[in-house]
Amino acid sequence: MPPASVVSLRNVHKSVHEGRGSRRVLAGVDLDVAPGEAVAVLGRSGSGKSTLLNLIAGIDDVDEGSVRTCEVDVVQADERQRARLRSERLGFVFQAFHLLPTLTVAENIALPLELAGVARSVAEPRVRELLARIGLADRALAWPDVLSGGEQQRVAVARALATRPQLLLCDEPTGNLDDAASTVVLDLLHELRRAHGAALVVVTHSAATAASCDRQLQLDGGVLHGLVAKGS
Amino acid sequence: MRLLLRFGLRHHRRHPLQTLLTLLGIAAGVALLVAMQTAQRTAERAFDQALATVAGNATHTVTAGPDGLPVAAYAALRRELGGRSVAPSVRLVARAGSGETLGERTVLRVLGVDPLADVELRPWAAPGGGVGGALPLGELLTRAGSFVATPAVLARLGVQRGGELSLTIGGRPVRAHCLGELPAPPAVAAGLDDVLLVDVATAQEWGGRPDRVDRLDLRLDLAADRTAERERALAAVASHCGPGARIVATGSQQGGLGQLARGFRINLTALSLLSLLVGAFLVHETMRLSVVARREAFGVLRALGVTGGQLARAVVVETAVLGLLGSLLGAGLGAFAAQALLQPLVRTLNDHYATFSLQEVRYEPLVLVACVLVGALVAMAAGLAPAIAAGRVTARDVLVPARAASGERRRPWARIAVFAAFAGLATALLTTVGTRLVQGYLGTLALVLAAVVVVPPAMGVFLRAVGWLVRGSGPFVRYVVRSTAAARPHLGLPVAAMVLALGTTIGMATLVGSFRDSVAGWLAQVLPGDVFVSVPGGHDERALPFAPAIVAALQAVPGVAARTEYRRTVVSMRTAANPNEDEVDVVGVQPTVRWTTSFPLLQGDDARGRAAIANGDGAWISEPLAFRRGLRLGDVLTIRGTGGPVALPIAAIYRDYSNERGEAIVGASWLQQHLPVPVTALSFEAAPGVEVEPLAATLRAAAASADTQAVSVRVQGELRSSSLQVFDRTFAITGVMRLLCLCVAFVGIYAAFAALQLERAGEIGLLRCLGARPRQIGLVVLGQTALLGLCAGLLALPLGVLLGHVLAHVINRVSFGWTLVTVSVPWRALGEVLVLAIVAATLAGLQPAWRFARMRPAEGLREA
Repeated sequence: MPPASVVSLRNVHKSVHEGRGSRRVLAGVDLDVAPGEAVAVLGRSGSGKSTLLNLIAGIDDVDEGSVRTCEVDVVQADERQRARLRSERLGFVFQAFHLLPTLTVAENIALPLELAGVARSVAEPRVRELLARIGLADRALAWPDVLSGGEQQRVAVARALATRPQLLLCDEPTGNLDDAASTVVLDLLHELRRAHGAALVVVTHSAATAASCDRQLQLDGGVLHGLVAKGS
Repeated sequence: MRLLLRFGLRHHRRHPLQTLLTLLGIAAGVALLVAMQTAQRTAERAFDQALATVAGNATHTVTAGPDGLPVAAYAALRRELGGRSVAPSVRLVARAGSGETLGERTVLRVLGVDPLADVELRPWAAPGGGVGGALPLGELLTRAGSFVATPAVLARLGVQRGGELSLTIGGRPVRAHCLGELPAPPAVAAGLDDVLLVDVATAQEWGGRPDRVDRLDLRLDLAADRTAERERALAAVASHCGPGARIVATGSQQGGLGQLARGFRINLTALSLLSLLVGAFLVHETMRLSVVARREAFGVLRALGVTGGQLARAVVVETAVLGLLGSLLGAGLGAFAAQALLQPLVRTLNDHYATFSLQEVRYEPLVLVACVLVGALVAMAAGLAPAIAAGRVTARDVLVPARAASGERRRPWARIAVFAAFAGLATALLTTVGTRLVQGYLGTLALVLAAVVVVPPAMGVFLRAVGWLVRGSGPFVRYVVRSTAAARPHLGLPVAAMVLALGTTIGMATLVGSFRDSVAGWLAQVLPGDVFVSVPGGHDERALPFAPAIVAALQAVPGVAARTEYRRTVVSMRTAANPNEDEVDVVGVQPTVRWTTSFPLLQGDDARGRAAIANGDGAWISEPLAFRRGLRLGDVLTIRGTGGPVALPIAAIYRDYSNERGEAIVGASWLQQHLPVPVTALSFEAAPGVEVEPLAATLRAAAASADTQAVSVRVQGELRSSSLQVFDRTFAITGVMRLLCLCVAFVGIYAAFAALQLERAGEIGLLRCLGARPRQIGLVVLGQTALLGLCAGLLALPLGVLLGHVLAHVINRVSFGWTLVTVSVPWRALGEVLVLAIVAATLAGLQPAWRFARMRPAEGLREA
């Protein structure tokens, strides 16, 4: 019997408002992501890739269809349940890093642990471990604005994995990085998520990022099309 | 420019809450200004108009001490000068209605005239001089106790021709018969809005002086070629009226109510301008935030070829439009509020300056327009700095994120220099204030501006201290504190406005509390008796005499160890420093030993000084009189007695909070010798073993059985509490203003924070993505606003105490001429203000907290 999917979308429809009208970006999307699987989603700008991630995380609402993330029916869940899902089972990495400028590197990594109610005696060693894994143990007390782009994204990856999530959602994680930094971040991302057994859904334009995943999907015309599966 | 303006005004339309709050901020300040100016000017103009109307066409006025002028003098002058050139008048204060206390009854002024003599002096009071009807001359002259009044007065009193009216005059009940309407032209009727016109004989009877008149009004030819004739006429007046008479040209008399209550008026104006200043902070902050929000758009406009000057001008015009709209709204609100403020204001003026009544506000278009313009100009001035900032945005700024570029560069030395400049100016102005009240307020303004400059760095110190205190907490708490500190450039000015409003509250509490304590202590010293008896009335009735039978009856009451007699009057006085004669209140006192030893003297507190009243060889003058006239011990007062001017040296200066114009105390024997004045008040010290309340009851009964004149008999505690009631009533108006200042500051904090949260929606969305629950988001916002409130409250404490001392030692002194016995820190008020600050700021955060807790994370992420 196959293991339950970490992500399961059925017949998902979603429109976004544009001025006085709206545009349908998802028109009957189906998606399953297995535990530990890495899936890349490609598509043109404005095709709805980021919207797809938002729906999986429960930070936006579907117009129609069902979304199950980490065994939680996101559509039926209330805001408290969705927040709990995000704090305990999901991790987010953004294109623009989005580190909180008024928290140090260590504090940015520690924040999701505190939001999830993890005791400090457990959180602090976890933060130190992650800092060491991302090679920034000596920058624990630095402010985000003194780090390079690659360093900031490494911190963001560590923050996303702090609570050992079941699912990692990444929106163009290397979009603002040069090739060298992108490689470092990508390698770190896969290394850490494999170590934690987390599944990955990454939205990307980068061929290298897409190629590093187990499966590639194309979002086109509001529907997901399979492209390449690794090993196929 | 047209499209630029449209771009700008649409931005404000798309942020309706911010825009509305800006409008309300200016509107509140202008409303207060309009309300205070309209109410004050209504009172002043009504009073002055009444004075002018009653004076009529007189060129000169003749008065003579408390007893007035003999009718025989009038008769002689009438024969010599001609019946049309001189007219007598008697003026009384009456109260009508059935209210339990005097204050509840309608205040009226009784004007007794000789209609046959008033043909040229007061044509409206003469037969055939009215409009739309004739004065019922026959009945007015022959029927005792009859009166006429304008239709408005009759309607207000609810009496018609043939009806009767119950009045109280000088404590005595009087029945007045209405003969109908006074047919005066509308312009004249406006000045007779509280007047009952009677024949002079009726007024003499009601006033208890059948053979005296209060004054004679003269109409002399002022033409240059008639000087000799005029001089002869004045000589005749002096001859017939005696050396005690004073002849004054009508135009040279002391100014009207505006002059009398100058200090009071300036203080109220200053307080209303303060609220406008707080509103200006609001405008500045909102415009600054709107410029920051549109920075990128401005950069694009610059890239398209718009100049910096055009951008700056566009922002100035936007501010002018908002300022004008807010001012117009405020003018409307203020017009309503003026009517509500009128009666409390008139009551305070009645208590301290002049007795008159007023029913309706009179709106002056010029005042409304001036206040609207002031509001608009203040708003434009407040928007100037943001306009300049907008003009400095370059095309390059399109590439720079708004948030990163909006942080203010730190220029600590510039800030220190500005603070030092304002602090130095404040010190210079306040230490050399002399008698210049406006200088005092300018110095206070400089002090306030110095405080505003120092608030942002003080906030930084406070938030760093809090950050240190919470350094052991988790990242969530540290985020709340540090993100508040990071927002300091946005929040510095709204917090400064709140500090200013709270500091003003503390300052006023310091002044009022210290003043009240000083008055309470002073009352015990200046009225050492156990029971105090006087004729009840307002300011113009303080010199009402007792009926002689009442004095005799009270003096015969047993159980009295000692008795102090007071004989109050108004005299003409001059000094070497001020050779022009002015009217001054004088009280002749026949003191007891206890009174002499306990009276609060500030200077001349030695055996000789204290004995001067009993010995009749010196005068005591009040502190306000000494301050206003620059008088010192040893200076000589020259008082016009019945026999001519009499000199008396100043032996002591005493503390007095009852009369800001100042007064003098002289020995009763000395006064009787030079200017006979009846007894106007008595105080009694109970004999050992005699209870005070029964003694008071005995005195009351004795007075009631001796004459129908009502007298007020109050024991010491009752007198003190009624005096303090007058005090509290006077300062009630400032309480309203303090509340409004706080509301404007609250609105400022709310607007700034709401705008800031809109900018930080992205960060809020991020926190939601990281798993923060709605409640936690709410706690972030409320935590930040509560922190700001605590910061504002703590910073307001030292400012408030400093302001309190400035108000007490400088403003109060220069306004009213008196010093306070003690200026103490109102600890309870400090605590209340601190709690109020935290509560108000937290309340200001409620709506943003609720909004962001409910916000969809996706909405916030889109802003990130």
